[in-house]
Amino acid sequence: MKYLVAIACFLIAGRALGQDLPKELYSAAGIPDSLKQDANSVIRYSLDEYHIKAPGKIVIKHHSLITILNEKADRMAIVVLPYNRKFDTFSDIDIRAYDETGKLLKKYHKTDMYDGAASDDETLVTDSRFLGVKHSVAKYPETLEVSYEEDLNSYITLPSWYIQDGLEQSVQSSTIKVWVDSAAGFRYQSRNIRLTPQVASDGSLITYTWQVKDIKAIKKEERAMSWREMAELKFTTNQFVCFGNQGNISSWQKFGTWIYGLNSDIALSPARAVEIKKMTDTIKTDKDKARFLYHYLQENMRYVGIQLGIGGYKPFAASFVDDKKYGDCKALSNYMRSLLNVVGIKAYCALIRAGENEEPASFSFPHNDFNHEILCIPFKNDTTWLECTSNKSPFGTLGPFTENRTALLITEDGGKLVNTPKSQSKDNQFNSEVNIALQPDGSAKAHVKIYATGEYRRNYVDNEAMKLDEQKERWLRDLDIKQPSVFDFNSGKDDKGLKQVDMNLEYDKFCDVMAGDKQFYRPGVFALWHNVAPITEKRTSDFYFDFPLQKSCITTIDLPQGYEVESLPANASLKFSYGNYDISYVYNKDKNQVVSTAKFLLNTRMVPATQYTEMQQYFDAIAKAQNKKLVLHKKA
Amino acid sequence: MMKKLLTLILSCIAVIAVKAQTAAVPTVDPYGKVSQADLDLKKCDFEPDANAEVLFDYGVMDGKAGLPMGHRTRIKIFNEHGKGYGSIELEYYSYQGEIGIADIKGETINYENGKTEITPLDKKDIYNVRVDKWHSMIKFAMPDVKAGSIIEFTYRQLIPAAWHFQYYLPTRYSEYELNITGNPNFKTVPYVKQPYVKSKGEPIDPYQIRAMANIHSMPNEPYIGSRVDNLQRVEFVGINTRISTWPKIGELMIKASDFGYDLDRNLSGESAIIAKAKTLQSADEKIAFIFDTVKNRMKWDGNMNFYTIDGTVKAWDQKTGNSTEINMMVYHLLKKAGIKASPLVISTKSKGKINPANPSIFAFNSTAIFVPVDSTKNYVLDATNKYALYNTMPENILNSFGFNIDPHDALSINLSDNLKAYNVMFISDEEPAMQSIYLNAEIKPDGKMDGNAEITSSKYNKAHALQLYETKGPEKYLDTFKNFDNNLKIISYKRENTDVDSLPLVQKVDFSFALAGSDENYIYVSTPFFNIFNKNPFLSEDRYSDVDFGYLNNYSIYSVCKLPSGFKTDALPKTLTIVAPDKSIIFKRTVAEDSGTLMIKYVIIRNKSIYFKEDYPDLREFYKKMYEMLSEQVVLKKT
Repeated sequence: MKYLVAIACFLIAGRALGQDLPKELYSAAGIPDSLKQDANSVIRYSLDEYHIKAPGKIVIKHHSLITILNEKADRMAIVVLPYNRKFDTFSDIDIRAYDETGKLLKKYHKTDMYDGAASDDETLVTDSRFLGVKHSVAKYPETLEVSYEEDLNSYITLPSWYIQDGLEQSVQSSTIKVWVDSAAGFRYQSRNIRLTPQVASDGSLITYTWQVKDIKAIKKEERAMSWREMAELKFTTNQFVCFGNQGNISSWQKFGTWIYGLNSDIALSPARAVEIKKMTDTIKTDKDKARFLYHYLQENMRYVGIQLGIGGYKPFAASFVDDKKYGDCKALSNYMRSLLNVVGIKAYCALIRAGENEEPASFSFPHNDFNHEILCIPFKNDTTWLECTSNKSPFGTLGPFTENRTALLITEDGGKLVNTPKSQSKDNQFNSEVNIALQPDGSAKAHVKIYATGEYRRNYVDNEAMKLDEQKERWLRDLDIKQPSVFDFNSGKDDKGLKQVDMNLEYDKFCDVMAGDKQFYRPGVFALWHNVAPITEKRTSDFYFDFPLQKSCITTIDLPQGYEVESLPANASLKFSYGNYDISYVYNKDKNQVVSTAKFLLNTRMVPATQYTEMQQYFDAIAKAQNKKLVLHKKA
Repeated sequence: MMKKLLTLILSCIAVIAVKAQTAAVPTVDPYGKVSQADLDLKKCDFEPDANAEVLFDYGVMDGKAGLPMGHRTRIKIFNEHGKGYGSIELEYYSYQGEIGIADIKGETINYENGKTEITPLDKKDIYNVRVDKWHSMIKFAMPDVKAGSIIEFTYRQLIPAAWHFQYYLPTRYSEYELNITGNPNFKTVPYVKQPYVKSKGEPIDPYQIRAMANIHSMPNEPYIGSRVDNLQRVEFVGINTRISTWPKIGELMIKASDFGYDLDRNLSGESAIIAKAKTLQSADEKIAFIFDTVKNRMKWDGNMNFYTIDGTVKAWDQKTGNSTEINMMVYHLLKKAGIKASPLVISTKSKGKINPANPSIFAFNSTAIFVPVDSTKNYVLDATNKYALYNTMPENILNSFGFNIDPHDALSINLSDNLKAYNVMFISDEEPAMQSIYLNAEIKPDGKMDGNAEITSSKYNKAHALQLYETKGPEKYLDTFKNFDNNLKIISYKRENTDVDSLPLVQKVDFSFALAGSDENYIYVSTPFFNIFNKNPFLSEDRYSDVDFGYLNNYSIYSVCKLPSGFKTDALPKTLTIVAPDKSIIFKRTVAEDSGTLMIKYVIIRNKSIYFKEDYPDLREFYKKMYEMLSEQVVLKKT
């Protein structure tokens, strides 16, 4: 799955403007204890000034003082200013480091900064660049003062005010001021914080001032979503200019119109159109045609991220993709739209914020937080969504990367914000059958069959990219399987969204302990559920799973000849608010066989903080149930 | 006038002059000519699970004007997962705007329905990206790449620093042909394990051919040591006669403004430090004091260089510096305190080992300090690592070589006649690091083990524990003891000797451990290991690099548990010893019960730090058994 634009919006710095800040802000001595709690750094002072000159044109002056309390906040000493050579210039960069008492230690200017091309795993070519400096904190606490002026001549929406630059950071005082013409259609919305600006006007120029003081640090918790916790003030003007292209984001409809205009190159050559029609002309229904063309896309195209200038938003022409057989998410989505168009099926590209459990776009506040594009086919009563960057996704499935949130459909009538579907636990299944043949000497042979759908399937299909040896190791580690002496593994069929995996395992010693006439076993090859939630006194943020799921395992254990069951592991039936776990054991004396059936269900992707402890105890109870032993003894 | 080493490094990355010479007959297919067998190829013969294979990689100095080497690569894509290899990135050096790669041409060859289809790479789709001040990159995506495609691309380049036969992908054939007639100051240094299939000329000859076939890919493996060192390659070395021997390199460095000049400069406020050091009795105390003083004052700025940048004086005042600056401060203060020391120029694992037989200034990336304490003991100090201990060799250079420059000898005698002032030495730590647990507990009838444990860690184990504690914070650090097992609860925690390098770290915990699996009839006793063991790293069946543990490590875990009344031992694991075939690892387990007290003891002694990949099957089998033995439990039964 690939992202649309590789431009990260760092909001780090500012500008001195010659004003003198109170001396005590430079010394670490005056930080109140309440702001040190759970904090690794403290924003002592921050002032951002947004001078909106015209649509798409803004001068940002930034000035901040951040005290770094310990090495966990060392990243605050790394200043990164992303820019684009043609549209974004930084000047008057001044970075100073002060010791605990406020004595100046070191200064950096633009010439001291590393000037690098931005890069990530998904992107081959981009014109995004960054200026960076990595200051080394000699002794904690140390205070870093950053100021600069940024002349930005391209934006869709303005850089947000994040107040805290990450978790475990407190704020003594932070201010943002915006100067904007009353006709610019300036609007704002806050998230996770209630803020009211002071508003002043001077003719048509309006000044908004937001200020916060004494904000406590937010403690880091596992599997929390930062957009649910961190305060953010989003703002924008209705008109914008993006890499020289004018647009309007006063409504989703208008923003969609602008994107629609960028997506206009969908024509394929007449010869190719004939070929594509011919490929599908014997297929009866539109849905089957779409399915066929999606598979055609998956087999023939590949993801390549090339984003230059407006190319961050405007896809390659469909004919280019057709010719080169590659493109990024928007180029591939637009190409798929073009293929469907040739056979008379209407489809819409859709902008989305991708990532597991990521923030949905707001119906009431049009703002550009998108980073990905997918495709939507509005079949009657059967809206179908396609992830066009995946060579392996089954037709019509999205998965946790894009499901369960809003997406902006780009239609000929403009943008329409709609919800993407969400998978249920039944869509993400791990089912398994295990046969274990135990021998009197404690050795064993086991056969494992796994049937996976949804995200489990996707993971196992992705694993096939690895070397065979690495895949085996991954299986042993992921399922916590005891290391066998012989491991034959067959990554089996992948058909209609069902992935099958077969393993043959041989053990010299499968028995945990043997003594006298007794044998003690862990009664399975793997346990069904491995997650443990750390014990915590007070969880404050909601806990997220990537997807709801269900698992099952039926294990048949053939007992060693001459042995019988002394005691079976206890059956268990456990419940919590969002699922249940059952395990039961049956001993068939005639076959000298133990059959266990284990089932696990999780029917949510979010557990509220208030129910965290319930979940933690439930997981502990599952672990306990799974650890019970099978005890055998020699037949009399 | 003193020269800067940095300038020297930059100026040496230049084109080597070449003379025209006709290319030898290639043993690779001509551009675009593809055999039917390769079109039909479904998998790599010698590595069938590879997603793609380099069919050939060919570099030749053919005497054409401009960039001297023509380079051609052909890759077969076997499946969907291999399609990513159709995106190519070629980096080159461009400090002064040089063009390091040019004349790029490429095509994709597909074979469908009995027809060969060729799609050329469009010039417009080739991008030249300025990465930073020093580097640029040519980037392009090959067109029409699918499962079964063959891609081929060719370009001209400078003579590379090395010819790599081995990559992440398997390579069927790789050949280079050098022709540097007219430049006598050149040689090649091979780092290969497989025989060549073609070899002409000696390493110092101006005309050379080397070719290798069927080269397995090099995966990332645990304990690989240095990946760079493990790749089969031939390095191309321009011989600068001024620095062609170790003494010459040493002489140049000692005279350089960013090395020798900075080595022994006075630092502000040093007199108090020196005076304090002089009051200390033993050499060890003095060394520890100076090492800790520099380590605690100075913050390493993250730069590994074997020369100074700001200089020691400025760095000292700013309390931050690069690796050479920080360690030169240690050298200077030791010297002032009367301790003999010398700079040891090194290359860390990320850069790869210094080759004693191939004197080269380009092999270095940092400086540490060598301290010969007495005839039996010496230290190597690196004060950039906040968690380093003075009496433990720096971990990132273990089992490699360092170049020792003794400035005292170097300056007072005729350099060229005296090799003693400069020598290459092997860096290893022969004293094993140690981890031990002494555990005293009582097992309750409900299957809980309550007790206390003392965990003692020396050398690298101590350094790692201190680092983990600092970077995670106290609370998260204790979570690592639990290793995702809520059955273990840490009730109290104390640690000792964190600041005394010469003593091992002692951590004392009171704990409660719910013994998993226990029920009303049986209790299964296992020892909490407080995460001193990781999971078995050697699950992989194959191995392509040597295993480099770096240092020797010994473990001992001794637990004494009072048994609950009403229970008796039902199964006791055997007391046994397993020994690796080469006797380099010994595992001993002792289990005994005596009048209601259970004693379990594990001892692991590993007295070798490097295992050749040929010995991997034995090592893997030993680890498998050992982890089995560690997981065996004592079973108690209700009476």
